[in-house]
Amino acid sequence: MPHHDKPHQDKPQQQVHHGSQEDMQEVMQNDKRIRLVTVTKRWDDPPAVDGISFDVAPGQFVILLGPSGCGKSTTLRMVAGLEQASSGRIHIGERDVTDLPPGDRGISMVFQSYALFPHLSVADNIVFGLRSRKVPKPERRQRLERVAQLVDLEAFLDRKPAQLSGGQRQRVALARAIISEHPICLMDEPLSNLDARLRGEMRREIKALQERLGMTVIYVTHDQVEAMSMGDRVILMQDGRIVQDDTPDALYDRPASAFAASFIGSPAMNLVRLAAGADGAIIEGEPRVMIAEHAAVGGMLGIRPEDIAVTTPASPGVPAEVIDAEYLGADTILRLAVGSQVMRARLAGKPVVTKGSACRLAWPLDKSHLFAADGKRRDDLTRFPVARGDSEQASEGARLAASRALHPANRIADRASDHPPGSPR
Amino acid sequence: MIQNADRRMQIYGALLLLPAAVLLATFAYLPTVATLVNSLFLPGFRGEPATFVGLENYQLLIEDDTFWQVARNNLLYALGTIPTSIALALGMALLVNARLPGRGFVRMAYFTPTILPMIAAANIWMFFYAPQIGLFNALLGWLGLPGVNWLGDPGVALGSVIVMTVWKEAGFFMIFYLAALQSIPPELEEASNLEGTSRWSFFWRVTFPLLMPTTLFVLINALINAVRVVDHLFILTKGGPNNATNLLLYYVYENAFSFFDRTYAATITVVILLVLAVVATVKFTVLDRRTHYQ
Repeated sequence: MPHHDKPHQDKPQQQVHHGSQEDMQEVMQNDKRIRLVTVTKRWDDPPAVDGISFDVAPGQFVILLGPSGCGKSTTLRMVAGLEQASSGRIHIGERDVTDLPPGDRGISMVFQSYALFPHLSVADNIVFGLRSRKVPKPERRQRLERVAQLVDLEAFLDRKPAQLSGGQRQRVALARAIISEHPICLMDEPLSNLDARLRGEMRREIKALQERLGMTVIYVTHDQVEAMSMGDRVILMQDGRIVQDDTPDALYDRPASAFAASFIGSPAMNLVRLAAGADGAIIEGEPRVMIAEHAAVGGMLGIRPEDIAVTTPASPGVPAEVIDAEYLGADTILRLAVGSQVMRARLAGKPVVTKGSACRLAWPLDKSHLFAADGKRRDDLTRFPVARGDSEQASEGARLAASRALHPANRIADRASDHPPGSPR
Repeated sequence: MIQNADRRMQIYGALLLLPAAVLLATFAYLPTVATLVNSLFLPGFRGEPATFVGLENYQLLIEDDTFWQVARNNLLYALGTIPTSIALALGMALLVNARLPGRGFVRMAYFTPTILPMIAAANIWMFFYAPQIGLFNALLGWLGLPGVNWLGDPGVALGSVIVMTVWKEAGFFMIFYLAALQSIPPELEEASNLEGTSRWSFFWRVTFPLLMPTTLFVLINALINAVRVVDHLFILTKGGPNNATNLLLYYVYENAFSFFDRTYAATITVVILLVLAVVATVKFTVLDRRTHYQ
């Protein structure tokens, strides 16, 4: 039927609704805003979701991140209307949707299990909602064609879900969410059933689709890689509460608590206990280097493994001993004993290190974080430079020297200069 | 060498199949063949051997008015019990699958008739149906209506038997539907709710198609049950009044053990088997194509 193809070509792909008036556009923009006000879900004590509030701007890609059981999925299901909030209000656009059934909220959702209808073909699965909403058949076919092209499923429309691979099923679930042309899409761990390679691919695809269609997305995951790479904003949750609500880089650079620090990054941020030393707080068991002022005692020091420079025992820094090294290809994770604590450092390449050898650790002052005993971030406390008495530049110099000394290529170069037969010099 | 190993595997497999094959052959296939052979003979009297008469028994059967009446009764019985009990079973399963206070109790209550031995159940219903002191007539009398002779009136008796069968079978079929319903992931309903699909529409577009394998299974079972009835009739009506509630297998029983006409009983049995085989084949070929198996 050629007359179905025509509007499909005329219509820009960006358009997520069929109304063309300006005010319609305005309404649709507003419909993309989500606001939660002190929303609580309580089955029994303690509540699964404990009075959380946040605001999602139109077109934003927001990640709900947290360990399992932190209430992130429950929050999403309350926004969807699949779970009734015990208290608090949920707004979508101008409307208070707290008591509305899921079908009236103008949202679509992608489930972890995909929730495809096993007895229906891919095409029937995708247009299922359109049939429920009594969209006329020609329009259904036209939208199906467009969406199938968008998610690259045109060749599989007649198949049953059981005949598809995991990635293809995921695409069907996405297509079903997109075809409804709802301004908001909720995703509940949509990639967790895929293998690692496919996951990376789908991450990019989902992000690209979201940008192309201008959807507002709330995306639940426990995978920090998904959170960091896809989110415009990450809401980190723990025990039903929001720990930090920030951009991915702020979450990485300035974790609001020791929990946030330990949840993001692989390997996670080093967190070492601080004890009382002579002139301030020291790393427990390592009294020679003062880390911070006295008030930091009892709290924790956090440093990301990639911010630690491992230097020669002669250079300034915190004395440490190599426990072992884990070679990962692009980099190597060193485990180091510092006092009574263990720290990890990430070094590029495959440095030659011997177990049990002594070394010094240094890090830029602005890359160290202090946390109070209750886990809260403390920016008011004074941190001391670890290369005591030296300026930042000096410790940076030491870091470079050390990394050269430890780098295998340099070792080989050194050896080459000892035995110079092949050398032009 | 390879052939040898292959042969040994085959023998091994055949040996594993042997016990079941022996049991089936002894107790299912052999009697079936014997019945078929029997139906081609007339009984010998006073110790004489049975005489081969070919299809004479079948000729007799076609001319037997009682057989046709019994067959008609059985058809009515099947039409009365199968759809009703399946619909009821599905309805009850949907009800007790929903969030409902006292769900466990209701499930148990629905299943109770199935657990009751047939004799006990039939005795309970004898009391319900009894003309003078029966529960139903007492209720009717209380409403000021004349009593009905539930099991004695030829026009009503078959209906009474059908009602009791539905009562007994629906709970049993409910269990299958309940198990099937619980294997449907709840996300399917959530996904369809998000699209504003009505419950009615969800039932017909998702639940019912996904229950098709169960429906097919229950349908075949209900059909077999419908031609297998002896015990109800034995207690309630003995096939009376005037054969109004006589059904095929009970008629076989009467021929074999009351009239001692074994070969005629065998003939009816063969006909029943043929009809059942044809109906089951049709059901599977027609419905199987539309059934989605997970």
